[in-house]
Amino acid sequence: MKRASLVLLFCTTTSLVGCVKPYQRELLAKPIMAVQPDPWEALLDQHMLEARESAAGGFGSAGGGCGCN
Amino acid sequence: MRLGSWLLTFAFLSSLSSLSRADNTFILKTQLYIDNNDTIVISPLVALTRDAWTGATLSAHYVADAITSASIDVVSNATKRMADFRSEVGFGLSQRIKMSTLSGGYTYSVEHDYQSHGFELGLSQDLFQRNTTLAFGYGFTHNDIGRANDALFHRTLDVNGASVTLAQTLGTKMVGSIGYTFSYLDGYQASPYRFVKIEGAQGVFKVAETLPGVRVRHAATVGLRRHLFRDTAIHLDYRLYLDNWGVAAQTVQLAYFVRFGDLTLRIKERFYYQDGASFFRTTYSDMDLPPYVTADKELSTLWSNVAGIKLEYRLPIAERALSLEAKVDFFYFGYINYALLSSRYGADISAGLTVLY
Repeated sequence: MKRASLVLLFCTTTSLVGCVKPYQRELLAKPIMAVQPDPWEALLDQHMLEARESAAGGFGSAGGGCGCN
Repeated sequence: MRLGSWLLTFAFLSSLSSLSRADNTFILKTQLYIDNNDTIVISPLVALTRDAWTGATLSAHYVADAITSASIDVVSNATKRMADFRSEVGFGLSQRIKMSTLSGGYTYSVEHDYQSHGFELGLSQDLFQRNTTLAFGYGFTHNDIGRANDALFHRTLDVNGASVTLAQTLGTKMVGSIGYTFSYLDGYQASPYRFVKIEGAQGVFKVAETLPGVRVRHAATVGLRRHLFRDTAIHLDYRLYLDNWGVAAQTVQLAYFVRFGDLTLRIKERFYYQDGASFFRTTYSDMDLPPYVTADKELSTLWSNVAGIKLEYRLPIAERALSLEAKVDFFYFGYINYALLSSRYGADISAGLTVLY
C-alpha cells in the first residue's frame, strides 16, 4: 500500500511538471536540446579539467593518465 | 590526477540510445592545449559508432595525449622539461530493449609509467511515455603505476564508482536532470615524481609526497536545457562536489546555442571554485607536520574560469552527411594558497569533422 502510494505520488508529480506527448516534442528533439550534445568533446574537455582541478564526477570522468608525471 | 574512465563512457553509452536511431558516425577531432606555464598537449581522437543489429550500437575510439612541459611542477623537481605520450582505446556496446537500454564498455589507457583498465555497465530506463529517463551506472578501473627508470616501483589504484541520473521533461521547451555519483578510490594516489619541501631546524629538506590511500568522492548535479526562440537554446549546469580529503567544489556552466541553417554557434562560460584538501599547506614545517604532505597545486584552494566559442557547420553536399567544427576555449586558473604559482592561463583549441554514413 505504501509502495503504491509512492508510485502514485511520483507519477502525479512528474506528470504535473512534464507530461509531454510524443507529438509535442519537436523542440525537445532538436540536437541543441540534448543533455550531452557532444560526448566526445566532453571526453577531451573533462580529461583536461580533471588533470587541473580536484573535483571529478557528475559531468562525466575522463580516462586514466594525463601525462602529469 | 588519474581517474577511471567509467563515468563518461557510461554517459556516452547512454547517449548511444539516441544515436542508434540515427546514422552511423565517424568522428575525428584534434585538441590543442597550450598555457603560459610552458605546457602543450595535443590530443587527437578518432571515434566510430555503428548500428550492429536491431537496437544495438557498437562504438570504438582511440585518443592520445602528446605532452611536453616545463611547468613549475616539472622544474621544481629538478627536471628541465618532460615529454610523455598516452594512448587510450575503448569499446562499447549498447542494446535497446523496448524502453530500456543496457550498455557496457571497456577502456584501456597506457603510457610509459602507467596502465589503466576500465570496465563499465549501465542501465537506462524510459518511463511515463518517455517523459522520464532513469539511468544507473557502475564502473571499475584498475590502475598500475610505475616510475621511470625505476623497475622496482609499482603501485596500484582501484576505483569503484556508481551513478544515478534522472532526466525529466519539464514542458514542451525544457528538460531537467539531476544526478549523483559516488566514487571510492583505494590505492596510490600521489605522484611518484613529486617531492615536498619541509622547513626544519636544520634547513629545508624534501620528502616524497604522501596522500591518504582512500578517497571517497560525492558529486551531485542539476541541469536544465531550455529552448528559447527559433533555433536557440540555453543550457545551465551546476555541480556540488565533496570528498573525504576536505575538498569542496562548486561548478556552474552556462552555454547558449544558436542555429543559423547549417551553422550552429555555441557560447560557453564555466566557473569553478574549490576549497583545498585539509592537509594542504602553503609551506610545511617539521614542527607541525600533518600525516599527509603534498605539493600538488590541484589540491590547493583555487578557482578557474573557462569561456569559449564553438562553431559547427554541416556542408551542403552529400545529403549533409559531413560537418566541420572548430572551438576555442580560453581559461584562467587562480591559485589562492599555492606558493610556486599564482595563476595560469591559456587556451584549448580544437578542430574536427563528423561523417554520417
